[in-house]
Amino acid sequence: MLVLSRKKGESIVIQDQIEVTILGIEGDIVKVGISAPPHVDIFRQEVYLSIQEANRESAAPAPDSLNALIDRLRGK
Amino acid sequence: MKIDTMAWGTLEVPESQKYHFHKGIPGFEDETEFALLPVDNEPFFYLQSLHNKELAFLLADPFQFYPDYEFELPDEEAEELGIDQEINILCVLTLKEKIELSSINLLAPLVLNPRKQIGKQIVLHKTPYQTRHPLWTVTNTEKAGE
Repeated sequence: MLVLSRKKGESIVIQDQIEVTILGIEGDIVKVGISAPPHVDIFRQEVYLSIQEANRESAAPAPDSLNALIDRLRGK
Repeated sequence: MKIDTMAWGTLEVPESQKYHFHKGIPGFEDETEFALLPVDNEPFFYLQSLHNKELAFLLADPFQFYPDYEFELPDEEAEELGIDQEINILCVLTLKEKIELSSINLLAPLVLNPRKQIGKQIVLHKTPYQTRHPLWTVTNTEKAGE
């Protein structure tokens, strides 16, 4: 991992298209501004991980479970 | 086109049901080709991978379960998906053995462009929604038990 020190107001440029700016530092919270092309998706890591995890858990549902779900919906 | 599924073996599916996910799906980033298979007479769909028959997701119309569900589709996402008029929103269901504990992912809806046959699971920012909303609230459960 590349480690850089930056002060408030300073930036980092990645591949000349993505710019990360340190907007402010308060205690242990760093506020970061990111400018990137529209096709670049930016997520908080824990949010992305939670979606990956939910998807992995949802993959390949058993047909029996779907039938049970449909029965439940119909109030059987 | 013919597709292989775990649940129903080999199926013949019209080309119009094929969807391309440029970036795959979080957790399955290499899977980009899927078929959207409606479940007869039910508000559900299977999203079946075309290259891995063991990979399928069960999707539902979120508005059937959460009529007040809403979000603003960011312009960049609309542009990336080429959405001008037609749009289809579906959410991933997580089924549990105890079916009452099944949930729906409202934080990351699948946005589909049926005309261009492309889709993306987008991640909402600044939203109260989460990955696991119950399919049955207490009230629904009471009704179902009547």
